[in-house]
Amino acid sequence: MRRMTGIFGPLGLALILVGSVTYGILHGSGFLSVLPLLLGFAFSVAALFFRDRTAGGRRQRRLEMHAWMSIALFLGLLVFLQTIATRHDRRFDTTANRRFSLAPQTRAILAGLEKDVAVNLFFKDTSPVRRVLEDLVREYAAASTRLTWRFVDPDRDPVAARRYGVGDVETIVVESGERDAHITETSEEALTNAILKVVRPGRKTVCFTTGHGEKSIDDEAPDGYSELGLALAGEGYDARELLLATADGVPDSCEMLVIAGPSVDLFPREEALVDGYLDGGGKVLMLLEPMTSIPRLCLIAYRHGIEVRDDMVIDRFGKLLAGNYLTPVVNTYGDHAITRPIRELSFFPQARSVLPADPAPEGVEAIVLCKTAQGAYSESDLDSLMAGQTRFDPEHDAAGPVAIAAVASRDVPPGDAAGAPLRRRMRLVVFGDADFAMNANVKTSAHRDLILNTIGWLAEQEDLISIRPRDPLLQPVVLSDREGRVVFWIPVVAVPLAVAGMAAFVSIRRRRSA
Amino acid sequence: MRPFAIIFRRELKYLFRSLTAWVTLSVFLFLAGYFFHNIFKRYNYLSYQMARSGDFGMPLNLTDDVMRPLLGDLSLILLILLPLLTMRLLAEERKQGTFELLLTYPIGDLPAVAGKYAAALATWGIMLAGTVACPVLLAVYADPEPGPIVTGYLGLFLMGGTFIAIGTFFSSLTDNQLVAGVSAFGAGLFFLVIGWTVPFAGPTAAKVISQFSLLYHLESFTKGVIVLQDVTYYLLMSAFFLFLTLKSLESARWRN
Repeated sequence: MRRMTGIFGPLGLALILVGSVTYGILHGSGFLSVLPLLLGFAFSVAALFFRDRTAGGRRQRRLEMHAWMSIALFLGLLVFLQTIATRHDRRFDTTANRRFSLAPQTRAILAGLEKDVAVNLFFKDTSPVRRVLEDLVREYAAASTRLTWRFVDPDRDPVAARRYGVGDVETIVVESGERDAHITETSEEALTNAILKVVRPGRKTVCFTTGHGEKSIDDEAPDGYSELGLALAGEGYDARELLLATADGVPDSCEMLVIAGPSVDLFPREEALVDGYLDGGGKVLMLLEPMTSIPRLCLIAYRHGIEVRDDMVIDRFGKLLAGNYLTPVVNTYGDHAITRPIRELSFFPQARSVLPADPAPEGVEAIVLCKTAQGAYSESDLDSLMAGQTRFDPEHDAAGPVAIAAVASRDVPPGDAAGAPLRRRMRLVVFGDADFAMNANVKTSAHRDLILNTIGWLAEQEDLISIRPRDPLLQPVVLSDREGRVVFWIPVVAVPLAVAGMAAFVSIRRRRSA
Repeated sequence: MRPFAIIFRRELKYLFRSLTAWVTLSVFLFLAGYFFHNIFKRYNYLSYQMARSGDFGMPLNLTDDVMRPLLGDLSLILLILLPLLTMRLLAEERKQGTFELLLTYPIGDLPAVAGKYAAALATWGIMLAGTVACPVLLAVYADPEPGPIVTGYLGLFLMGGTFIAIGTFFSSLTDNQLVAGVSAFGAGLFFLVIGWTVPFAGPTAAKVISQFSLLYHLESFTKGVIVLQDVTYYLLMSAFFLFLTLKSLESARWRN
């Protein structure tokens, strides 16, 4: 019996340590995580109890064991207190602009997390934003035990960067389960919205129209869109086809409508459907080939803020880089969430020009998404072009840079129906080409990012939160030479010297008194 | 209270009548001033560069770019200097043979340990107060946020309190001051740098390791945020090592 009770003490101490990790630090929930702590306490108490009775005359051994047990119990008490402090996350932010206090929306979202979320921050060790970002993400982790974070330097861990599809651009990848979201902005708003995207249940459906010779997501031919369909599935979307002609409207299940390279125009009824869909805050992506007669589609785009011209973009850089003049090269991107992360060139085999409508319809914000270099122009005489001739005509043709894609958006008043979203925003993106996203080209250059970013932006939901960015609190200080000298002499020389003088005084006094 | 006050006064008097406290203090203030000067000069240079280029893309503020690095540096200096203060607390008593006397005094272990600990803590407080010239100079030439300066000093004070508790414990184990000092330095360094392995550890291990790291818990204080669990961490760590010291004294009594 005595031999058995001898292990109670060390066992109690070990169990308290295990319990402090499972319950106190890892925030385990449920009885199992508390069990080691409870057992640890029980064994420690038991050891004290039995030692007092069985040690008999071996006083020193008894006292030794007593000391160990009391240490175990004291440690357990401290762990218990620290656990309470950890679980009741009380913090007081004393900074002037409360820059370390998360917005109430963020706190609410983090408190409601039901799934684990991992935040992977792909930033080089030398990145100047790293410290600010670390401060931010630490606050997130403090607000939720379900959130973990780590910095990855793409130079030191290129395998991880490749696995997450992260290039040279500093990127945050937020993942939960099989879903992930890539963001390049480092604001609280962007990070919280990325978390919302990955934890929100359900998959979004991207509807591709059919019936007008559009590209098909099932077509594996070089000019098909099957690669895009696979990429969308990988990003967590369901892609399906929608025959507009027989539909009563765009189904609610469709997160957006993609009209990809139609060879013929919409019917008037379909025109009304798409028009009404956009008016109601719908999201539409048009990929429109040149040399096709699609006036109704062009009219829909124009009514919602984007002008699609009936021309062909000619680019001498296309000859140099892609082998022909009819493949304009895009080297300039608009300042937009879709194109901000993109650094590479894009090629658009046979494209028409697309630009924001002037004047813009009321309430519409439209900008150019992609444009060529100066050396390009848009050829409006398509007959001559078909005959193999083209020449820049300043009267009819537009000089470069030529816009090839544009984006328009507009706030739509909330619907009257019960349960209607509080805020809806019409979103329209038009590319003057559909071939850049076909199987043969989608993996080229930045094409995949361009089309997926576009669909990602269109799929943004209205309930994503908006957080006012905090003032960065800039306090530049430029000292004069005199001030610089003061900053040296007072702290480095005067103060330590004064104390050293006291040391000398003490030393002299001691010698005299000795 | 009286035995505590006696021990406290006796220790403080001893420290400041000998050269130990004065030399430690002047070395600490020199190093603190030197670090402050370098950090502030660098900040001045960055401000100048930014003003010239007009690029204010990155926030440049006195809390994050002067006070935080300074307090981080001070935490390393205190790791080196505090064992010099604590190594003699009980080890010297052992060496001079007054330890047994201390154990037999009717003052109790707790006031004895608490008095010695409080005296070292007060010395550390004086050392820290000596660096106030740095934030005062900041306030003269710029407009620093007062909150983070106060919380930063509070964090450093608490961290120093933990170092002193660790040092007191190791001082109670031996009569060799050097052994006590080196052991306290080693233990302090371990708790300080354990957080460096966090970036290379898995998520679970990182969580466990960072909870034991002295630097990890200082982080919030230096950026101007007081977090309850960081305050309790330092207090409880100090309490634990002081408790170990008491147990060490107790065991010394019955061993003898």
